[in-house]
Amino acid sequence: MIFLRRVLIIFFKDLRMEWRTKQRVITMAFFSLLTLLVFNFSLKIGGAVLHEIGAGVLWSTLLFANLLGIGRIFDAEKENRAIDALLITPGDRSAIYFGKLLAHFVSLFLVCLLVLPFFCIFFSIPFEMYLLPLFGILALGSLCFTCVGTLYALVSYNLRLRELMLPVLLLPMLMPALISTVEVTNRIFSSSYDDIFWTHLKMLLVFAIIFVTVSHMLFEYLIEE
Amino acid sequence: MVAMDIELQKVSKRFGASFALHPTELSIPKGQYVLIVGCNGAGKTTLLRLTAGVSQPSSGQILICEQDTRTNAECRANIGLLSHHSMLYEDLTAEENLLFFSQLYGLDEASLQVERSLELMDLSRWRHQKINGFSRGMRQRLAIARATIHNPSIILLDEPYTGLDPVARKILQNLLIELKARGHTILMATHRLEEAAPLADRVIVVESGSIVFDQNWQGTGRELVKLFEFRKEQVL
Repeated sequence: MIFLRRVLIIFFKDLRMEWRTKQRVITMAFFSLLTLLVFNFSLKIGGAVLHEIGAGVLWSTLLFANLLGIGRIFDAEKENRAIDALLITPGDRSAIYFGKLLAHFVSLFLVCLLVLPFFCIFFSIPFEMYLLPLFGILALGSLCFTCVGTLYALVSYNLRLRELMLPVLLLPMLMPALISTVEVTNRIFSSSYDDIFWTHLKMLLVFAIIFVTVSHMLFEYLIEE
Repeated sequence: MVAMDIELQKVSKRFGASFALHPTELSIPKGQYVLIVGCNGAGKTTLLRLTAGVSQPSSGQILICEQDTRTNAECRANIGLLSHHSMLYEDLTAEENLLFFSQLYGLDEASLQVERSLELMDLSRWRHQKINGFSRGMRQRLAIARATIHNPSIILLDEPYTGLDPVARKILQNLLIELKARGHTILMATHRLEEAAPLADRVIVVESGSIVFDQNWQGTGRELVKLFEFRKEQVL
């Protein structure tokens, strides 16, 4: 209970700061909309059947938006070295990871919800038909992106070329999640809940569980230096 | 046997091939006020960061109140750390900053404690202001409140006088006198020897990552300045 309380304290602190500045959500949402617009125009001119490639475009857009936000996860802690004050508070330090993870997850999911109507308009997809499964996969995909991203944000915390290194380190790790989210979303759009749908859904769940567990185990060691 | 609040057993810190702190033995009993003196880059901050548990030693063991902070994370509640960085969040108000840390320490009546700390640091008027509008001195006063809000038995101070105006310095000085009287263990690294020395029970001089002088102290600030300058000349 004490651990959960610490997680929530850090989570609500991050939410409050995000609410006040709106830096991450607005930047990620605006970037996502612009990317969707770019994809829409370029693919339309290229003669692609938009609703067939929509899932890939949606998740690629969210992946890049996530990269934009992930790089800023520990900025508040870096400024004035607030991380030092966090580190000397008692208790399991991985509470910091979970608090940060939750806060970024909420931000990214909010961006997903903001972007979804525009995506459906641009790519002629009647999203009201698949609303519930879409929310589900957006939440699960966001969780997968966030749990890896938060860990890698910490790994790159002290790197001099952080802005450049983070995407290079993170993108290969997110590829399995990207593939599965696209597969699942494609099947939601075509309403075919077959074996492949369930297999990829399970893969996403396993991906999230593995990375949350690994991050929980590694966080203490990574944050010490 | 005297109870030790801080014990460093063969503790060293290396960055790559170079030692920031050579293997060091240090025991500080409960209630002692220790002053760490040394030139820039001597290893004072490393020593304090290791003791606080912010940084991990390359070798050796650190005991806080006879417990290893690595195996017993709860014993970190005994430590309060103040450095030249405020360790505060720019986009939170003064009150929110203190409330956040007091909640992490699991303090009962956190709001009341925050109110008291703000009053003590003469910051009540600015409690609802975000700290990105604060002056250096106001930030440092708030940082003092953050470091002491959970009433830690060990207080580690790294250049605490930096950026403080005379009034704020007086507030800090009075707080240190009070903390010392209440039996808190204080470990302070500073270049402001004349202000810090009169309160000190013991002086440690650090040079090139090693403790080269460690003695009980009852002298004045001026005497300590002379001693330190004499040592500096010897080294140079």
